[in-house]
Amino acid sequence: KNSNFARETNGKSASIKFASPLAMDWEQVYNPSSQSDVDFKNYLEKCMFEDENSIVNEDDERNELNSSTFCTEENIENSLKFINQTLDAFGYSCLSLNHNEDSVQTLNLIYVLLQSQKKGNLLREELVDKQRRIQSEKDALALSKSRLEERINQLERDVAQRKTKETMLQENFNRKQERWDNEKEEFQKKISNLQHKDTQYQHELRKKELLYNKLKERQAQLVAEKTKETKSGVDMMNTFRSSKKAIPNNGKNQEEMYKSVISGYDSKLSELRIENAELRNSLKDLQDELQQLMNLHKETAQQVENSGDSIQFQNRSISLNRISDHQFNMPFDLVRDSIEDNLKDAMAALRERMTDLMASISEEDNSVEVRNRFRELQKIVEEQDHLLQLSLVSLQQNHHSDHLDNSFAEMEREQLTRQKKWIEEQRSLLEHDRNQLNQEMIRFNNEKIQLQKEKVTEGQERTREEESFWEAYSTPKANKGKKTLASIQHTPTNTLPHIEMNMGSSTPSSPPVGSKRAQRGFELNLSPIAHGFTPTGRKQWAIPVDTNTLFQQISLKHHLDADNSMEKENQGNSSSSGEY
Amino acid sequence: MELSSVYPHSSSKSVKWSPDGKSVAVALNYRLLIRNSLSLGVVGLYSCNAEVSDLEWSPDSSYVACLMSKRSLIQIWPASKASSTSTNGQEWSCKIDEGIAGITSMRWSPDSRHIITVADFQIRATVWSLINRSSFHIPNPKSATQGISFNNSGSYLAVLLRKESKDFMAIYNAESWELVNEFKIDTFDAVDLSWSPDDQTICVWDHSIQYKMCMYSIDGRLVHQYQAYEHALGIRCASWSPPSGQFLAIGSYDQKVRLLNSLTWKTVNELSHPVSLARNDTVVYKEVSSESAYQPFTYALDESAALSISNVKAPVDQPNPKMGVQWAKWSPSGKLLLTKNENMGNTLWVWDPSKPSPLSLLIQRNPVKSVVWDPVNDRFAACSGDKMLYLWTSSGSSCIQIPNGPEGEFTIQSLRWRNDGKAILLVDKTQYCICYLDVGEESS
Repeated sequence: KNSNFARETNGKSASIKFASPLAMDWEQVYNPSSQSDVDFKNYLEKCMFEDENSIVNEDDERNELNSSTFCTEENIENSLKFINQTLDAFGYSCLSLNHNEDSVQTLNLIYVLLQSQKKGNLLREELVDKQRRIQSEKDALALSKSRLEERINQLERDVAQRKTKETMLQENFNRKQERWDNEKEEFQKKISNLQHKDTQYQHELRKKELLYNKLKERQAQLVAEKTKETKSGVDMMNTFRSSKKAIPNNGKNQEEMYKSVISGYDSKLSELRIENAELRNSLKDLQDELQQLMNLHKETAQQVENSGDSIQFQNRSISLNRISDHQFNMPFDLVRDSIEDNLKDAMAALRERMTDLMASISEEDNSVEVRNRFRELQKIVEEQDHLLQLSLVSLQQNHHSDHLDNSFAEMEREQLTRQKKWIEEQRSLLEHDRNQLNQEMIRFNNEKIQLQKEKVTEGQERTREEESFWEAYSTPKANKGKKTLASIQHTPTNTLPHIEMNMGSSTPSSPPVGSKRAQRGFELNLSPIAHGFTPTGRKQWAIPVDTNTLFQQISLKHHLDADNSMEKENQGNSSSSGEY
Repeated sequence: MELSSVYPHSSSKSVKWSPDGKSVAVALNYRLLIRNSLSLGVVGLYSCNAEVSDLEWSPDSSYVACLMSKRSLIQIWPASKASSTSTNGQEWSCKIDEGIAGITSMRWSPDSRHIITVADFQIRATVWSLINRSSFHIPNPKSATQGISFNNSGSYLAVLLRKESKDFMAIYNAESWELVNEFKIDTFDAVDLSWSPDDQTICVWDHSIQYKMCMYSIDGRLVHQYQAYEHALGIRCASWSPPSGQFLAIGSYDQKVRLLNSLTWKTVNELSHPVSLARNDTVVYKEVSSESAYQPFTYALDESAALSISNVKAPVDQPNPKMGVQWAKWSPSGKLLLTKNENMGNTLWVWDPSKPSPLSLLIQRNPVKSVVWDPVNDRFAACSGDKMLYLWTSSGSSCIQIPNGPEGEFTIQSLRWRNDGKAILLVDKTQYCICYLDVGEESS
């Protein structure tokens, strides 16, 4: 029974909470039938709740038992019934209702209950102890586990460290091994070289010895044959037809020799002078070209400023300190720094200019052609850069070595001529392109004007149509319709802004805009080539004046944008004025 | 291309073109045979006193000198009818007898009127005048074959001497034969000298034991001294670039050719012969067997991305090892340099002096025995000691098989170009023939 009890309570309550036996779902057990039962039930519930939610210990229980208000005079029967039911549930024998007689039964029951309670308590204590022990063990284990984990981590870190160290050392070792191998190889090579030398030495010695022996033999022979006297001489049969006599020089040999040496040096010196002059000339020309380009740029920059447009680019004053022609003939040592600095500044300025232009152009959604043109320009500038570098480098070589390398100067000359040709070609191509672009722009503008005209005429037609419509329907009904028409008329203004623009007085500012546009188109007609870039002898480096057209186009674009914005404003105005 | 018929000779080095290209002189035992180079008809036939060991044409092509070294005799014969008549109308000839001293080598002077001989054991060098039968001696020349050289204009003669265990150079005026200058040179044991094409400098290089190249001007000043490395075998060959002498190519035992700029004496380029070649615009011709019946081998263009050439290491214990750059020869225009690295004996390298990688490579089946540039054009002919004649030009190259003569197999041991570059003498061990190139021009 006790075991049953334990099992049941375990099954019913989740925790090992040894509340009073009252703590159970007694709703299953006790079904109240009357209102007083209900009250009782409520009362019991209250007690149960208190019991369940409070931490139970034996004192509380005893207090409860002692001061129990469970049973009173009134609800004896009910409480008895309840108790019987619970006893039944627990498996104990039922109490009978007879108050007086079965106190034995009651006492026995109470004893049994008390015993079971005692056992329960004991068990509980045991379990609590066990739990405590287990808890402490668990704590200890957890602690040890954490310690072991830490240890593992540390060991792992250690291992990783050692591994990296090992790889490093391995690498080191490999490197050293390589070096060692290389040195061994080199050493072997050196040894073999020296061995070759050694054998050659020995060979030569042997040769000399053999020769010496032969000579000794010969001498011995001759000594033995002392009697034979053989003379050496020339034996000629008949002299030459034309005998060339040897011209005696009488000791002028030395002079002649020195003369020939000196004349040799003279010729070398003149060759070098010629080459030097050529190089200087080419450097001067390059600088002239560059300077002209700079000047042109300045001119165009000023032009653009003068026309009063607000174009966003920094107008840097790029000026080239003009190095006088004579300076180029000075010994390179003295002038070198100034020439180099000049050229480098010019190149830097060009580069900045290029980046500016790139920035300003890339902002706009302009035609691809302009961009292509720009790229071509850049290429040309880079080419110039490169050439300048070449000439600088060659001049440096000049500076560092006393003599020039004839062959390489030749090669460079050839290269330069080739590049000159190429640049000529490019220049002509670019001019061609520029012309094409101009034509296209003109065409484009014409088309635009045409379109506008067409639209104007179209608009005029439409207005005429509308007017006729009005006249046709000039009835009171139509007057009502006027409003609608007006509203209808409103929509055209929204959908066909151009018509609005050109309709009479609502847009007073449009004609001038249009004419301005036409004017600009005419501006474009002017060939920008006429900028006095007269080709001279060495003008192959000339950068054609595309920068000018570039600016013009940029300004045009800006104006177009301004026009568009102005148009939009006008549109707004007209639409507002168009409301009836 | 046309081949002449095959003729015999008795000494391979004694088959020579005349400098004007009109005749060929051949030594046949004790006879001298002169043939017309076009028709190969016999123009002159002379008998000498002994077996002819060597012969030399005079620079003006009028005379042929025959050397009989066993008898220490030189006999000079006129080459044509025009040069043979003398003042008294009879045939002219001349005999030079050195006597006990013996003759090891002989050479003509540029004026064709003097002969320089070197005696046995380099006791002395003698200059014999054919005009007035006089002679004078130069003592202690270093070598019979090397170290004696006229400058390009023919006005000076430079001779390497050895006195008191030191090297000296003597400069003689070639017209008056007076000693102009004699000075000590800085080499350990000079091997040879070479005049620069503009006659301004003489470069002398040291024995192979030490890498040293000294440049002297004719007044005895040391202009420059060049040593690429030490403690190894040194210079093997050196040559100036022909027309202006702007480069001096030095081939050495370390398998490299170094080009020096003759103005600044700086190393312009170092051409190495690597084992594996990265292909940058190098045209590689490989001799392969072909299927055609009359041409067993042909050149195939090797287009492989990387080429590897075998490099044979010479044994350490043999003197004069087969290693290093054996030849560094310039083309007549000076734009191309031909080299052969003896470690890669089957390969010929053609270089443009300004580029680090070769222009063209010829890989033969057998080691190349002899290569000679055409004296006029930029092309060369090579032979490997077999029946094939190899021609290379910058636009292509070809293998030509020489058919056998009537007396058996004909192999090419050495080549000689004619000075106009239109014919080649192909010399075998005992026979020779002439190969005419550009036949159309020839006949017209």
